[in-house]
Amino acid sequence: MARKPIQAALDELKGTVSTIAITQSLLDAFVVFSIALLILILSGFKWYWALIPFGAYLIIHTFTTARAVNLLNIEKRVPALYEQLRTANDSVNMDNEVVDALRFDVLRALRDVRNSYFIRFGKLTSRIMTLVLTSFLIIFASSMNVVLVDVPAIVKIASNPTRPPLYDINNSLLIFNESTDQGIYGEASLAELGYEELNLQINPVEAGIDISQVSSPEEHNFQSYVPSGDIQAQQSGINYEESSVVKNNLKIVKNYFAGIANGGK
Amino acid sequence: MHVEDAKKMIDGVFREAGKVVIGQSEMMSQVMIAMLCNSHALIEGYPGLAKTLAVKTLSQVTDLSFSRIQNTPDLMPSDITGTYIIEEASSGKRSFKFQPGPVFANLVLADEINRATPKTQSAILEAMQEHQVTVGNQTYKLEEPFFVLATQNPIEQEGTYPLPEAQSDRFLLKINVGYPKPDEELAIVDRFAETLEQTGLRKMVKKNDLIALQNLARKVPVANDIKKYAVEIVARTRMKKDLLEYGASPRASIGLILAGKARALLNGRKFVSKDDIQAVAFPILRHRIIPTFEAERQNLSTDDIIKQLLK
Repeated sequence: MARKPIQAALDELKGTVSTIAITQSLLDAFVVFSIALLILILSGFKWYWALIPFGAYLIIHTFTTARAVNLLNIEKRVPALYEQLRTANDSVNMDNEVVDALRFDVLRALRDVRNSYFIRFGKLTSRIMTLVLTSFLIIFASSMNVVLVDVPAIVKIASNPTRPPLYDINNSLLIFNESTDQGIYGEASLAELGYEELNLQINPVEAGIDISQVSSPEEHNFQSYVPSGDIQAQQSGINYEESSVVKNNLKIVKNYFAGIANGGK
Repeated sequence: MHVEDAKKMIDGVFREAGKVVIGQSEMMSQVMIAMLCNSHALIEGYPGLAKTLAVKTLSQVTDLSFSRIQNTPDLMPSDITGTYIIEEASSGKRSFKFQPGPVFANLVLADEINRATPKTQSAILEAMQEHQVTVGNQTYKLEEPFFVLATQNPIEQEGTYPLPEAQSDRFLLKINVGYPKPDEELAIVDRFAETLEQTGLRKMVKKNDLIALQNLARKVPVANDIKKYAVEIVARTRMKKDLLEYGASPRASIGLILAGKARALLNGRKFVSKDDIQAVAFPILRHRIIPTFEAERQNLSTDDIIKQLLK
């Protein structure tokens, strides 16, 4: 029997077990992240601090797990191959009838090895359940803004113990910045108007509408019948252009434009 | 030869030997391990525990030439190795001819080896080590396979010459023979007290088969972890200064691996297990370590100390 099949089989086995182990490490790291996130939310910290335990756990746990992926631990999971895998692996460079027979036995036994041998279903279930539970708690705490112990505030108070604030108020609102910028009063030319009348026009497009002031539509009842006595049409006998009012106005307009044409003289 | 064939062959030997030797399966296994390792074993036990019978039976079922040396203080080295005798030809010419001693056999039973003088013991031990005998200027090769199975009696130490540690190190295993279980003893009584008939034994393994088995045993692979474990056990014997005055030599490490391989083959396995190393650690180490006075004061036997080393 050639040496290659047993080598390939052992490499494949190690690769599969490594993948499973790293996946489990990742899942464990997510559990750590979710628990850390929950604690941080309840402690009033920012969420991104949970990335630190997540990263640290992922690196350390993956490193430890990768080291634990060896043939001895694989054999412990597959008792039928106990001590045979290591022997087959260590005797890769040997060639005799006993080693060949051992390789044949190992390859035959490897066919019956399932991925499930290396998955701890009890542990996996507990991790998933923990993840689900902490996720619900995180959503609840975030939506309700639950903070059990506001650690940053406590730290802030502890760092300045001489002047404890009497009330929990937003101090930024108390700060008055006196501005020296004259521009806050608007254009100086407008101020010069004094008591003169100021005509302001509001651009209807830019005007904000205060919704609270908008009342509900009211129903108005209009009289559909207008009594004929109120409006009386009279026959004047002259047309619009011939009326004295139009003639007077026309004269004023002509004089106005004539004035303009003569340079205001 | 495949491992499965080897297992069948060895099982056949045990089955056939079991017709004569009742019980003592551990001793039989360990003797077979020594034979598979092409090495020698020192069998220690009280009289009447079938030590000699077991060795003689094994020789009968394995088609090996067998000779027995009953060691006594007046036994000379030449009584073992052989000597030159004057041979007279038909023409009347006389010449020296080498007359091989009992050591020229495949399986040599050196009964009560500790009763022989150190000089005679040395003659046996040289043959064991070199697989050859030098008489005068001539060196004679011993026929392979060559095993010496020596027995010694733990009681009646008066007038004996205990093997020095350096010489007992030549034996791969020191096999302790215990009393049979009550039901086994009952079967022994039934077998040997009721009939005088000798049980006919078939030869289950030929000489060449045994050599093939020895070669196969050496081919059994060992994982690096197991090798490290074996070496670590031997290293511990040198570090446990409170209980051991002297630890085992690297020969013990080689012996552990070799005997582990043989035990694996005996059980039809194609790899050496940690259990193999632990099982053979007792016969491999018990004659290679010397307990301190503190260990004796605590009434700890060598096996007790080995148990501690294996933890």
